[in-house]
Amino acid sequence: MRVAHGRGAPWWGTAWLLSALLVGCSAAPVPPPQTPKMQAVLPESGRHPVDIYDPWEGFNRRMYRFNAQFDLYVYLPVVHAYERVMPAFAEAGVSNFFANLTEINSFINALLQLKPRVALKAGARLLINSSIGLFGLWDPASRLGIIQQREDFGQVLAHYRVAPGPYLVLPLLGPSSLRDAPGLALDAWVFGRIDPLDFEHHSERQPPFYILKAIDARHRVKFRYYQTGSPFEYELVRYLYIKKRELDTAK
Amino acid sequence: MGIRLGVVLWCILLASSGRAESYDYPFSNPLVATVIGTPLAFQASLPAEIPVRQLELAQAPLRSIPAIFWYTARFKFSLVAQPGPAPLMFVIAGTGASHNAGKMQLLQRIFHQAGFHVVSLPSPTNPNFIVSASSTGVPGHIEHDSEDLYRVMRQIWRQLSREIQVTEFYLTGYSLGGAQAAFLARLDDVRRAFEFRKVLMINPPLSLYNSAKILDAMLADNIPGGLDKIHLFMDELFARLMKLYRDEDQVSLSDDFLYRIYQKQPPEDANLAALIGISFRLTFTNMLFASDVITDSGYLKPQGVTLSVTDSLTEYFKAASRVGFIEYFDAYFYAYFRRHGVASNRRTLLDSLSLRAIEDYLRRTDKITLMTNADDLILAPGEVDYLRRVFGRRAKIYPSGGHCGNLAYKDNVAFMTAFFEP
Repeated sequence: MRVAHGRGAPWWGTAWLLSALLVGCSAAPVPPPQTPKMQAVLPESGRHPVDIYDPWEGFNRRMYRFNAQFDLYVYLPVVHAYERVMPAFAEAGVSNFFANLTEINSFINALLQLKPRVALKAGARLLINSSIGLFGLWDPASRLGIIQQREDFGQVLAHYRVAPGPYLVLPLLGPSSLRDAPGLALDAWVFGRIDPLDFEHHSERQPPFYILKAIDARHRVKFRYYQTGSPFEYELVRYLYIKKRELDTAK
Repeated sequence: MGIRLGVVLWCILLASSGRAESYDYPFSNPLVATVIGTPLAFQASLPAEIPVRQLELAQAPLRSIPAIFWYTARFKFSLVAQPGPAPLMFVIAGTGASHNAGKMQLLQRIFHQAGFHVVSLPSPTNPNFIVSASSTGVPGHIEHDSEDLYRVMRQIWRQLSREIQVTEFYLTGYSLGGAQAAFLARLDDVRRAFEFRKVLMINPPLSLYNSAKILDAMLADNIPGGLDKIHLFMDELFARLMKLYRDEDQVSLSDDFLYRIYQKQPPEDANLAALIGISFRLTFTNMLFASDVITDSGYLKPQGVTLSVTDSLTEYFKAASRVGFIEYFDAYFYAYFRRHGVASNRRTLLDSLSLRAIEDYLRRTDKITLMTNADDLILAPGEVDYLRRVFGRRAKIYPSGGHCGNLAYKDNVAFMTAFFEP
């Protein structure tokens, strides 16, 4: 079977992920015995907000630390260099360009959720920003009051009552879930099939595209690991992610 | 008759011509002030971007760092430098805050604009400080914490002295950092490493015990159904946010996001108090767990057990978040100092956690000024008056602002800038 290179997520990525998960599952650590204080307090406490279904917690924590270290030693230095070199308006242009391309997926996913008004917004934004906004470098649609509303495939699944499933921390991409992670892969595959930038005939465009996309993505997110210094950051991020997805899927 | 009228009119004119200072900070409710802060339209004009550098102390840490604290092995602080010679301002963070928390960034902008080098330090109650710089590992003992602070300040100064030129030293801090600034000034009068010219205490607590009790009560009293039902409260909070998100076309967490929500649908006092209580409790939870692991006290984590990065900490979070200050003081803090032969008397230890312990010094010294609000939430009844009596003319007490809500308000910024003018 010939694999179509350069279109969507590679199949071996998913296989690697699954095998890594299985390894993580089999190495679940045994919790230590409880102190008197713990024994006294825990049974009488009610359902705690941060108690979230996380059967793969060992694997997730290891991945969280990997992501934090990758951020510290690789990702952030590259993003800082990018920010030093690029003037602010150019950074905004890059962000707008990639945000505009996501409207393709948002449009399709909105239709799949039977939300025509949201699909119309995405379609309008794509048209306006690609034309008047010069291939997406500018965002006149926002100024006209048509605000971006991202719809990913995970939200499509949520719309049809698919539960999020176990919490999952993805390499480099961070918090996700068993439902949302394949959703990301599917969105990437759909984007690959539509191929707006014609990678099929211009494969040399791919490396700079994906590298710039990764840099822009990190540049836009102001989160810095362990900035508050809380030892429970893993729990807090997990809680906020689950709540954020509930917010996203509510709209 | 005409003369009488003239006199009356003249008196009215005098009274309204600016003899009575008007303070136009927008929130008279201290809970609203504390949570929302200062809306953009009322803020002082401050630089949008400043050259902040996040640094670490080069010193080897005091202790071997547990694996789960790999990310906080070195003491972290930030520096905003001026190009040439300038006075240096040390800023001490409030309870649980790191060196670059929101209010710290605000103070950096204020004092950078005023021409200072600014060095921002985490609070001794922040996990980074506990792990990398606390000699005991048990925060809250204000004298010990001040000794630790003084030590790292000297180390920072040694580290920076080659790259920046400093003319004089100044000191400030907000909330618990404000109280610590007073103890530091007293320490510096003896050790003379910095000879601080001026010190500003911003919204300090008077008695740590009283303030902690107030904040604990805000949480305990305002969760419907009690602490066991906090998950319901949080679900309700997110449900409300969801509704606002649905009704508004966009939700951006910009500076005025909270203010816009407030204008649309003012939250009840009980909910605001609960939020403040939750925030304080979270700080406490972080602090207690970090301290327990560092000292291997066996309170939450069994003694001798080494946690690895893959171990779940969720059970420790759940247990630690149930511990209030009084329990912390009795079962953990006092127990620790008694074990180490430092405290024999619970009452004496409790009394030392207060500005009253240095009342004589605060009355005598002329370099320390206090800036706080008459409605500061963390002050118990009578404490504002006590502070007014002790500091006299060196107390600037605003009528409103809650706890640090008015830090960015233009009048307050003007006062701070003017106070530190050489």
